Amino acid sequence: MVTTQEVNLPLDRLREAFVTALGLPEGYDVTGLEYRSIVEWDSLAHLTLVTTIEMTFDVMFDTTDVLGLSSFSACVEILKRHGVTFDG
Amino acid sequence: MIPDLATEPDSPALVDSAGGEVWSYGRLGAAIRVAADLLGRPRKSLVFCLCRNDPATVIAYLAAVEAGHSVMLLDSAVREDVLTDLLARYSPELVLASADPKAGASAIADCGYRTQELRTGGIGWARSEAGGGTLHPDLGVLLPTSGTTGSPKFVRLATSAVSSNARSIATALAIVASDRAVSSLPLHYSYGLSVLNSHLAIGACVVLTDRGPLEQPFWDVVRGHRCTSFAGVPYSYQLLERIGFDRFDLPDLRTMTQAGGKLDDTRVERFHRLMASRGGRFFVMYGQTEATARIAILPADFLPRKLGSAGRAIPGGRLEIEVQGVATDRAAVTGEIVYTGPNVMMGYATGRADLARGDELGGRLHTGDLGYLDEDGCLYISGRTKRISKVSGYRVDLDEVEARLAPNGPTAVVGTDETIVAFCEYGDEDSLGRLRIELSRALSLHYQVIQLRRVDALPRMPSGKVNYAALEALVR
Repeated sequence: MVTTQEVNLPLDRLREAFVTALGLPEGYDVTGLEYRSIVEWDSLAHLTLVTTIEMTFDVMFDTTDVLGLSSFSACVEILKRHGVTFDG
Repeated sequence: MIPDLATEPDSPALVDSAGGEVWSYGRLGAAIRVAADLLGRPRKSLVFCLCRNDPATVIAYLAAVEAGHSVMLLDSAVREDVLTDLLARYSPELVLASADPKAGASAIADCGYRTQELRTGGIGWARSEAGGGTLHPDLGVLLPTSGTTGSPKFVRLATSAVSSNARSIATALAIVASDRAVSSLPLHYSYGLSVLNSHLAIGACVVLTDRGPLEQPFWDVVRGHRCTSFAGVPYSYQLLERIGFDRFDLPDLRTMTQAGGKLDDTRVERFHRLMASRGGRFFVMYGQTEATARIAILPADFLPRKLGSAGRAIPGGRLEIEVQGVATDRAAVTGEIVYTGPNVMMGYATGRADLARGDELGGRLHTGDLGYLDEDGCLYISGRTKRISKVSGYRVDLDEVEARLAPNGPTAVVGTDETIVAFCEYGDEDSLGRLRIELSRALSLHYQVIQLRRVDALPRMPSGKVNYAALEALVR
């Protein structure tokens, strides 16, 4: 059985933030994504993505964070610096 | 030739930020001559150039022009279906790319093109039976009218128009040989191309990078290669604000230019102050691909006095305002902006047959923009006569979007500089949501700047035509 807690794991929330902000089909595998590796993740979408992630995790990204958000995995590292924990 | 090859042969023309390699004017000139020889054909040919911001692209473009061919500049990330369509419509004799275009390669092969050894630092494809269809002797460069929609409509530019615009821009911006511009915009975009041409035309340097202002490596390039000049569209300046550009330590950056739509006055003033405080200059500019790139430039020291202006006509050009068919350069009269100058296009093209046609405009361009001139000849833009939106700097033809949606049912599309809104007499939340995603893909625009609104009936005029004014009122 899927519990509320499981679907709200930080990694799932981050995946969902990527899918929503970039306008990708539901269930799209975003974990390997890099900036500009797909047409949907362009400079226009990037700021939307930043804002969506900031709101999802209630954090504020500084210049280094915004410029460093070059891939999904880089984003995980940035969020860790902001105190978000990703288990497993 | 567009680059000023009288420049001291040792001075840098291009820097490839990827490997730090420097191309001096001597080396660039030699590479262009070698490549132009290789591209030589008994007949003037059409060359597709799939652009990246790298030296091989620049050499391919300049060599094709030098060889007397006509060059169509395209995004190397062009969608496969779009490229297939363009190959069929224009039947180029040659296709050049600096590196393997991912989706493009199979489209090119499928159209019967075979790889050809060109030794120009890139890849070439040729098709023996391609071509047919004469090219006008003056035709040098073909640029897309729309960066995103995959429209087959291109602007036909004479080589002389391209060189002339490059020199006018260099003069108006007072570009000097020691300047180093960072290629912050793509080369297939008229503004990006004009940055390259205007710097090479006077012996200055362009630092080529495929990175953008949202990536740390871009700023490493700007700092590391001591770039003096940055070009951006309104959205670029929004990005710069978001990433805290005012705190960046870039002591060599002395010129920032802005074109590609109107930047709000608040930001113009802010960036003007910022650059002035650093001993630099901020230029507001206005132009159209139909005029190669640049039509007007506002001298940096006219700010903040002329805040809101799009600038004065570039050297060699003239601005007039046309009201009911009569042109005037009197101040404070609002009407359609008409530009006359040597950089005006020959006309449009939608297929190979159009490339035989000569100059159809006689150097005079009805811009489709509305505005007025002040007593100093400074232009103020107030709106558009054409149904075109510039969403975040991307030019979107609203009638084209409408035609795309029309098969689904009655649709009317209006737009602002922030958003495109389609009013639809069909669909529910689900189906319109899917159409919205499809449309955002087709236009390569973020879905959040596109809205599809369900209406029972589109407002219409007594004539039965859609009442766009009423719809625009709903959007504002």
